[in-house]
Amino acid sequence: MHMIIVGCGRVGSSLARQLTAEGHDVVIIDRNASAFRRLGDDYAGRTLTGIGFDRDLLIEAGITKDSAVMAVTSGDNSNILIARVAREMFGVERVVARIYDPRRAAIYERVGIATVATVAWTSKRILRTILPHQGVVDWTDPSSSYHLAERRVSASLAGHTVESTGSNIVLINRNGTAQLPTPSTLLQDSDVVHVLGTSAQLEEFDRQLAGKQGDH
Amino acid sequence: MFGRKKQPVVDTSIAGTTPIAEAQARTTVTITGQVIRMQSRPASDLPTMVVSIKDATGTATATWTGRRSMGGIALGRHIVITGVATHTTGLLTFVNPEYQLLA
Amino acid sequence: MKIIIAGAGSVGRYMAEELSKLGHDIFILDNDAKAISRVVAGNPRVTSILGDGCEIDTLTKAGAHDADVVAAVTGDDEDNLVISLLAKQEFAVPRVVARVNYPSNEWMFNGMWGVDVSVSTPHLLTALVEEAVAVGSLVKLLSLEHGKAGLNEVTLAEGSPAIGSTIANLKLPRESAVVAVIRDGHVVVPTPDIVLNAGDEVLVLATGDVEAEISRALIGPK
Repeated sequence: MHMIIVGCGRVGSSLARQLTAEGHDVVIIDRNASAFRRLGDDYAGRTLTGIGFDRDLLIEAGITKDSAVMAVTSGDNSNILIARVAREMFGVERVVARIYDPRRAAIYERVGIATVATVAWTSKRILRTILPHQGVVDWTDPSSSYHLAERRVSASLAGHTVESTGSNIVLINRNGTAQLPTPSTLLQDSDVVHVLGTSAQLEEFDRQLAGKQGDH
Repeated sequence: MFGRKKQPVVDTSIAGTTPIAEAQARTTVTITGQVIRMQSRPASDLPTMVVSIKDATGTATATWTGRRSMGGIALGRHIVITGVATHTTGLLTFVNPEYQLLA
Repeated sequence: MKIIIAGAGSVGRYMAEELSKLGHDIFILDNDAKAISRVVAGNPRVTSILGDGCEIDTLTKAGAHDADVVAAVTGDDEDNLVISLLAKQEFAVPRVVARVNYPSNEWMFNGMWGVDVSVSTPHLLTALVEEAVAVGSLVKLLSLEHGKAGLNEVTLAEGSPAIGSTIANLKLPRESAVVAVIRDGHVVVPTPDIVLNAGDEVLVLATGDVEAEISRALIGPK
């Protein structure tokens, strides 16, 4: 996948290294070329110096609607600008912005931008937003039968009831507020849901998220 | 958080809803109604979704900037909107409000 | 009117002074204590607030919930955009004015970020220079009404089809009006019977996308 990371700080450089190691086509952007030193000599991706919300620079980075864009600079405002330009100007769907202020994050969620506010294990959470179908789980019960996974509702499931998914959705986080769903609760775009199930059940949910109906 | 009602930890509560005709501008209000009109304005650089919501007392408008579509919002659907609205165009208008889908 | 000015640099401070003289209540905010300290004290109409305009708390403290105007005039375009979005989205402020520091960012300063009116000094300066030097071309001086109306200027060059015509007979589009003619340094009220001369500076207010038609009427076919 073509990945554009804006901000070569601790998180950005770590993402860039991890994603190139996994074989993705990565471009990392920063205002200061000196930041690229964090990437190390063996970094196999591209670097670009400039402002991440500049349209021409994003075009030079090869942005298309199938790219994934991660705005992880040290500034909340830059990150939200980058995220909106990527999404609204270039039609990119896989966009995530790191927002330090959790209250502002809730506000940006309403503009439809996926945000990640937690500082700890941020790379993992960012990747989960960008690559949701890689089967990441948060917790597994001691008998190893059940897993708890966090997923972001996509357009394919928006408007569907919890019941219709056939999955055990235990909690919905909507715009920063947690709700206990009932079977008839309707899922919405950008909801973050916590799903409890076996591996097979989670795979089925992931298939639905990706827009492919399984049999249930 | 200023003005934001904490949603109760219960599914789709519409407690605290105001009829559209009585809803005040410039303060957080919650209205509920049916989606009667949806307009996607993907005019070049300014994609905007404009949704008209009607209840027994009147009609309100919700605008989402930067979107061409909103998953789950469809004509005829009932919806709860919470936000701070203006009255400048004569209609109660919300910009990027919180919403909850009802049946 | 109640006006919030975000950014206490020289632009913000000047605006606070001038607007308060006109009788408005001003709340000026900045995150930098030094900048705030430069706001002249003792003006009962001006309240200064130390805080980040990109924070809901600061805007709340400044009374954004009943402000008539928020002017985002910091030296940082990103901040100005975020302040504008919060003002529109969270506080439904009727009029949001934002300053564009870098013309390359000007394309973002519109309804997508809650901006009703954007002002780019470099852009304005260029337009005014053009207006001063350009004869025979259409200069867009100002955008009004959320960009829906524009004030355009044409200095009639020799050969303009408008020369010798009365204002009434100008082939201007329906959605436009001649608001003034400046002749030899004097404003001529544009009554329909006024005959236009070469060198007249014609100011046309137009709504809609009618610049091409105005050009044809005042400059000639291209």
